Amino acid sequence: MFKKILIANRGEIAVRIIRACKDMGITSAAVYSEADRHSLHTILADEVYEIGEAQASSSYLNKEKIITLAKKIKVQAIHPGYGFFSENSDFIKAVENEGIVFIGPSSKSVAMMGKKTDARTLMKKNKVPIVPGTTEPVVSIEEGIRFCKDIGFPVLLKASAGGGGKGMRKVTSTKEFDSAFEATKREALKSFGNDDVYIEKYIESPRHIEVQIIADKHGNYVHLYERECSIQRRHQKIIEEAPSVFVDEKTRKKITTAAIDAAKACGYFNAGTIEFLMDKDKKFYFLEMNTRLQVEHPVTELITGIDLVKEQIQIAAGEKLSFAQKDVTAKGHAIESRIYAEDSQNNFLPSIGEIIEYIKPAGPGVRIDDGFLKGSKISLYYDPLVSKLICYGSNRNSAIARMLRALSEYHIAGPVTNIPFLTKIFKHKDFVKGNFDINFVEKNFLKKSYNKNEESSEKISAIFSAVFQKHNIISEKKSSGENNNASNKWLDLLNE
Amino acid sequence: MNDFVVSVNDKKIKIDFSANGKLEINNSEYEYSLSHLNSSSYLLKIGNESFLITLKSDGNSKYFVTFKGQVFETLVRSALEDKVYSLINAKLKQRTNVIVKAPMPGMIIKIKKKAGEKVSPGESILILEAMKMENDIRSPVSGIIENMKIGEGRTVEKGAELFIIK
Repeated sequence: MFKKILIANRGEIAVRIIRACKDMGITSAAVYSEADRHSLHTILADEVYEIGEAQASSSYLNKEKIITLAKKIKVQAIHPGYGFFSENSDFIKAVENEGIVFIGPSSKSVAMMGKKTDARTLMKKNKVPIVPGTTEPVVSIEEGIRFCKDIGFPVLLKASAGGGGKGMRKVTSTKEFDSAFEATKREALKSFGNDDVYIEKYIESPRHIEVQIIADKHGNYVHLYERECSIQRRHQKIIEEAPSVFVDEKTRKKITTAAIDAAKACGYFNAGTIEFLMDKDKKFYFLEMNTRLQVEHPVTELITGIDLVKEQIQIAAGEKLSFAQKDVTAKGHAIESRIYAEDSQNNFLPSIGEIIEYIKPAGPGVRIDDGFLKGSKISLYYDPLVSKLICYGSNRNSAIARMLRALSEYHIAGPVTNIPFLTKIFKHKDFVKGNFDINFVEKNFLKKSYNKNEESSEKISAIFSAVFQKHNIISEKKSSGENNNASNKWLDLLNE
Repeated sequence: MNDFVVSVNDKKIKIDFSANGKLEINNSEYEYSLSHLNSSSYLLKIGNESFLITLKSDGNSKYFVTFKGQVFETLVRSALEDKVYSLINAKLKQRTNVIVKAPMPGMIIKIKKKAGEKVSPGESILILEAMKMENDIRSPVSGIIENMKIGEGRTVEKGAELFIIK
């Protein structure tokens, strides 16, 4: 087994990996950028190294710096987390060339699945169903429009190198095509360093269902059931659960088999996720394979009892899977909420700044994976994910009840968070019934003015403000006598 | 001055502190107490209910009150102050220019409209990129763009004036 692992990531996922290392008796080495000095991972790791400026390209995405450090501090393996270098086959190759183990799949598997267009071709060959569309990047606006007319609007424009919901646009008519095409290309280039864009038929009201698989270097493949990730905003997941209420036993058998086939097609080892869209008739289509640990892996951990990060490390070290398919059972229900520092009432714009108060929920069935402390800053350089709140219950209703309890206990001040928004979703009758698709947020919360605050909360905040002001005035008067600031301000205004 | 008017979410809530140490809203009387927990958080008790509240002040008269996961922006004035400001506001309303400000810090990556161009509500004026996401900045009203204050490639702070619509 490895003696020391370098964690090439930040935030909650760096913390998650450090914890797995500690559980396994492995020394953990963390890196941080200038902006992250006050983050939790820099406190928990056994060794910490500052690697550069806040911009990811100078720190978390600087290949040379990370590999040089890995050699210098003599780690045997690098864990990339998710995002950053996790699906970068050049980085993996460079790590492999240094004789360091990459905790993930081979660079070859990543390359095969990395470009969505190549992955679609590979899946088609291996009889895994794909969404109708191009398997090649679109070279011109004219060609794109012609193709869209063939398969019919609406379509989705997608970055070939994309993932995580970024670099994706829905187009409903020829008129919108060229500006959407340009914007998708720009965003793709900036986010993924490649501006290839392809077209997929837009599937109406699908669910996003994905299958967790895990495979070792000895050809053993096991699936760990599905996750339901249909609750999304801006094409990014905010609530994930396992199992899915929509998937019956027959469909589960089919989709998990397809997932294993997909993983085998690229000679995969490590934990991986095959994402599918599923329509109303439970027909499913391959969307993409994420050749890394997922943000939402904890829900699978809670229903299967398997520590995915620990398994990843063991697989990377060449060990065989410690279980076979028949040993894996799913029990109960788990739900994850992504707590984002963002303003749900203002187009989900990120909200940055110092966390001035941070009190976590706890109690039965509650797990929090986070990366910040009171005093840490949410910076504009990275994804504004504050934490993941994961709740477990013997069934879905009890998991939802615990989630609502935990959300009401979670107190984060400074940046605005999506906690009130998540609370509204968990109280929505269609969510509770399991009756939703990937358009749920748009349909129920964006068009109507859902965002009216409860009157009682307004009243409490008003009372607090008045009481605070009154006390403040009293103490000001005590310390500095009468002051007439207020009346000066009036005069200023009147003179304007 | 024992009467306050608190503005929150475009609403005004009148709170009177009575001589018996209670407060009154809409003719209902409440017992209350405020206790300082740490540098920024307080425990407010109203009747038998207790609330954890964190306060962020902007240094002026605005408060950002975090409570049950929500953030409320409040402004407290004495009843007299409130009357004066209402009068001033009525006067200022006659101005018709709308200043559009950056909702968050980021970089201007594309400007789609020039000064002098006519725009309608919801029309995209420029793209502000932050955290790798492109955000459309749209016109809130119809009118003519005046005074485009920024250029492509510029980074802006939150609240920076982007353009004016007349």
